[in-house]
Parts: sequence; C-alpha cells; structure tokens
Amino acid sequence: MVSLIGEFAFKVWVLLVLEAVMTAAWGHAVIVESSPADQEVLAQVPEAIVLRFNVSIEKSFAQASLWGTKDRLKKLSIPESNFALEADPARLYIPLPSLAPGPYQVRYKILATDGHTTEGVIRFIISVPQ
Amino acid sequence: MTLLIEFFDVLLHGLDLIALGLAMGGGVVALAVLRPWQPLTIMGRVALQRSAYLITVGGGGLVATQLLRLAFQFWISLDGLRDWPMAQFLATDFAQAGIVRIMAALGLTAVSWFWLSRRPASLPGWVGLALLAGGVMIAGAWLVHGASRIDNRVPLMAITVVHQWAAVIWVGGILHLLALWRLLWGNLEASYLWPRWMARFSPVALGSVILLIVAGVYLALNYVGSWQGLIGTGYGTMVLTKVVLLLLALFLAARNFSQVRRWRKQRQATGVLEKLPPFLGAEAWVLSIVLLSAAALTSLPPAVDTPDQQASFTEVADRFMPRVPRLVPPSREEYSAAASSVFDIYALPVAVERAQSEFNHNFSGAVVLLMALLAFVDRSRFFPWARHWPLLFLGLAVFLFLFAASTVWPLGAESFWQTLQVPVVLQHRLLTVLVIAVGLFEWRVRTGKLTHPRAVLFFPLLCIVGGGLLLTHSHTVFALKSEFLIEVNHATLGILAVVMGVGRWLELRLDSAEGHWAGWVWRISFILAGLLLLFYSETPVPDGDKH
Repeated sequence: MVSLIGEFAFKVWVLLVLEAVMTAAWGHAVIVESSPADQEVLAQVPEAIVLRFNVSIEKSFAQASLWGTKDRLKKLSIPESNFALEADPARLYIPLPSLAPGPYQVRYKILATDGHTTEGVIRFIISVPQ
Repeated sequence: MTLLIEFFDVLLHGLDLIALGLAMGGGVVALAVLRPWQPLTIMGRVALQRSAYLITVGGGGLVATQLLRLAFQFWISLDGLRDWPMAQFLATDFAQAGIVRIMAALGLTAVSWFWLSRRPASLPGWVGLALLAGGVMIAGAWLVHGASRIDNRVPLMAITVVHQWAAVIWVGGILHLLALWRLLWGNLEASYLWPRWMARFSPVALGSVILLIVAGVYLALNYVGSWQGLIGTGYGTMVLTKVVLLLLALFLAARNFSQVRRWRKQRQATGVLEKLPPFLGAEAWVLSIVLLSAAALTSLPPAVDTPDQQASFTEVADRFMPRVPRLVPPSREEYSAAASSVFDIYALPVAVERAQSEFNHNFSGAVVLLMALLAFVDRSRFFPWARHWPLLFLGLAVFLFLFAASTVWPLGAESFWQTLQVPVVLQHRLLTVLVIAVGLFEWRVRTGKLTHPRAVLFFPLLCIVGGGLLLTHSHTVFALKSEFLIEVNHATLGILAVVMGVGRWLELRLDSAEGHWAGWVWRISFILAGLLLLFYSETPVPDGDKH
C-alpha cells in the first residue's frame, strides 16, 4: 500500500510539473470587430471605441484603460447603455476623452460568460491635421 | 498578475479533468467491470474498495480544483475594480455552476469515503455515486466554451459535455484498471480475474471512443469550420495534435483489444497478463496528455473566429523545410539594445530577437541531433563510450538557462526572481530543471548506476512531460497567425517527444521483439526532433502587425 501511494504521488508530481510548465495563448476570446480597428490611423478623434467579441461577456467585469506609448493615461468607464436588455451581449461601447494627435492603446480585460478572462489591446494613431 | 492567474486556471482545468476521470472512471469500472450486484470473490470486494478510495481522491481533487478556480476567477475580476463585486460574481452562470459542481463533488466524495469504502458491495451506493457524478458533469456544461457562444449555444454545451464524459470514462477507467492490476500483481487470482475484467472493460472503452469521436467531429465542425482552419490556426493545430495522440492511444488500445480477443477465443491469459499492463500504462500517459492539451485548447480562440488570421497550407509546409541553421548568436550589444522586457507581453519580436530565437532553437537542435545519433550508435554495442550521450543534456540545460530568456540574469539586467512570475520564463526555468533531471537519470541508467525498475522509467516519463509542455507552448498573446506558425513546429516536436516517451517506456517494459521495435521508434523520433529544431526559423512579423 505504501509503495502504491508512493508511485501515485510520483505520477501526480510528474503531472503537476507537466502542468506547471504549461501555458496557453491567453486569447480565449478575440475581437471579431472593432472601431477603430487595430493599427488604424485616424484623421479625427473617435468619440468612442466599440469592441465586439466572439463570445458573450459579463459586462459588469469589463475593464478598459487608455494608454499613451508607455504610460496609462486614463481608466475608461463602461457606460450603462452596455447593460440594456436589448444590447448585444458580445459588444462593448466605451466613450473616449478628447485626444491630442499621437499613438494610443486601449487595453481591455473582459470576462467571458464561461468564466475565462482575456486581456488585449487595440492600437490606433490620431494623425496630425494637415 | 492576470497572466499568472490565467496560467494557474489552465493548470487547474487540466487537474480538474484528471480528477473527473478518477471519479467517473471509478464509477464505470465498479458498475461495468467489478459488478457489485454479483457474488463477489474476496479480491473482487477488495478491488471495489480500492476503486472507492480512488474515487474519493478524484472527488476531493474536484472539490479543491473547482474551489480554487472560482477563487482565482473572483480574484482576477477584482483587479482594478474598487469594490468587491461578490453579488455580481455570484450572479454569473459560471459561478453558480461551479458551486453546484462543488456540492455534487462533495456528495460524491462523501458517498465513496463514508459509504462505499466500508460497504463496497452496496449497489444503491454505487447508483447514488453515479447520479452525483452525473450532476458534476451536467453542471460542467456552464463552464465550457460553448456556454459563452452567441449561436448554437445549447447544442455546443451539451455535445462538449458528452465529449468530456466519453474522454474521462476512458482515461479514468484505465487509471482504475492500472490500480487494480497493482492489486492483483503476484496474486494467484490474477490469471483468473484480470482477463475477465479487461474483457468487461473493452466494450465500455470502445463505446467511449465512438462517442468521443462523434462528439469531437461535431465540435470540430463548429469550432474549426474549414480545412484551412484546421491546418492554418493554433486552434486547428491543437485539434490535429489531439487527433494524432488519440490515434497513438488507439493503436495502443488496439494491441490490448487483440490480447483480450485472443484470451476470449483461446483462453490463453499469457498475453493479457504480460503484454497488456505495459501497453495500458503507455495508453494512460498518452490520454493524460490529451486531457491536458484539451485544457489548454479551451484557452485558444476557435478557428472559425479568426478567419483573417489563418495561414495557408504553403506557409505551414514552409515551416518544415530544411534551411541553413543559425549556429552563431547575434551580437549581445545589439540584442540588449533592442530586446523587449519579458514583462512586456504586447511586444512583438524585433529582427534581432527573432535571430536570437533562431540561434537558440538551431543550436539546441544540433545538440539534440548529436545525442540522437549517439543513441543510435549506442544500440550497436560496438561503441561503449556512446552510452554517455545523456550527459549532453546537462550542456543543453546550461544553454537553456543562459539563452532561453536572455534579457534576464545572468546575461540580461532583469531580475531572475521577479521574472519568474512571467509564465513563459517560469516555463523555461522549469524546463531547464527537467532537462538536468532527464540527463542525470538516463546517464545513470545507461551506465548501470541506476537499476531500480521505477527509476529507469524517469526518462520516458519526462519525455512525455516535455512533449506536453511543447504541445501547450505559446509565444505571444496576439498576432495570431505568426504565433501559430511558431506553434506548429512546437506541436510537432511535442508529438515526437510523446512518441519518444511511449517508445522508450515500451522498450523498457516489454522484453520481447515488440520492445525491440519500440527502441527504434523512440530513436527515430529523437532524430526527427533534432532535425526539426535544427531547421527551425522564426516567421517574419507581417507589416500589419508591426508596432
């Protein structure tokens, strides 16, 4: 019995090591549509960023923030309109503040309804007016 | 922190599936194989008790993993929020399903521990346990990817549960049978009971495999969608990998099936007693890797959702073409100036980082190929010095330690300890430890310093572990197509490593001619792995993905 427990413990250890070295692409949910699109160069400042995912999400747990090239500029709020009954369960509408020309990132974190969290980023550039 | 928590969530998901296998497989083995309603021999009664103990372990494991997963999910949702959103959290479907699952698993653990381990012949006890196990499975439907789909949600949830159910019955059943074999080993009743138990399990396993495949095809049609999705995405590659490993497991299962059929026809138990347990052990390991891969697969976006990120067949085929290996690293100054921090998960690799990565893979490939060729030479027995080939693993470990994350100490400025919270760095550090362990153990085995029957199995087990690592390896969090084109090499290497492990396992466990051919299988896989690494190249990042 002792040797059986020892062997079982060894197998569990091997499996634990195997699992401990596992990693996955942290992209269970992906954006299927966004406005502005990733890498888009915009002539005008958008009033909001709209993200549509491939899965329905728990919007109470959605988080988004606006970044410059290196630093976080602002935490973005998720307005009530996202929670309306008729709202698309996979879509987030996030208003943006007024922005000066330059490169920006909107980093988001969402929780899918199956419990998986996903982080991601949309990058865009506001071009200098000609 | 999110990355690390998600990393542990995948870890827990894999453990959860194995625990589910122990719990579900035990119930099936008890009802279909040991048959508590029939007159039992003493050994049959002891076997039921053993199954009940293992079910308790599985049930306890389920409770623990589910609790931890819920805690991690709650913790991750706190990050950045000012309040503790407990009420909103408890209102989610997955939290409620998780709580129901915990309750059912607690009931299952209590029934197996307090009831069945004391009264193993109680049929109502086993039926109650089966019902609770059904509750665990059904609640799991709200935790699978299908639960978050916009279209076709309910069928996807139901079919995924059926797919899981078939898989855990097969894997769990084999784990239980292996435990029962331990019980019978050296016992006079072995030659009487073991073939009968295996004959009863065969149709259960066959039914599970059919169900697994039918449900798997339905899920693949919905989540992969096209041939290009299958060949040209990370999700498709993981599905293909699961198919290849499943075929390997089926090959091993077919060997077992034929031994059982032979016993049925001729009543000769020799094959079932001598050949079947090693094949069953190898099958259990392969299936465990399939379960762990399945856990990682749930964290990838389905191929149907990334139609503009799919690689063509030509691009995939190009990944396997021989090319001139890069055996000289880029200059350290240039690399240090351009390389991104390991913490910057959104950074795309610049040219010098890709060159460094190619050098890392190609140089490792040269070392692996040299080891594989020496392992071939070693078999001839004309070159006794060749048996020291595992020592090259130590050199490989030093190389990995220095170059796998070259922005980190000792070659880089980033802290060794702080960077351990980055999953990919942690992964490479653990891989380094594994490589040292493999080298030392196998060298001691080859030189006759280690002869313990279990210790000699360390090398094949760690090959399987390494294979599992590569099967779930991923480099970046976005740029899906370029990420996939790297993954496709790692997935192939992972499969080769698992085949190596199985081949060596069988070579050690089987004394006959079958052990001899298994020896060739793992050596050929070893050479192919070396060649793949030697010719590995990084894909150029498409213009659209450049920052």
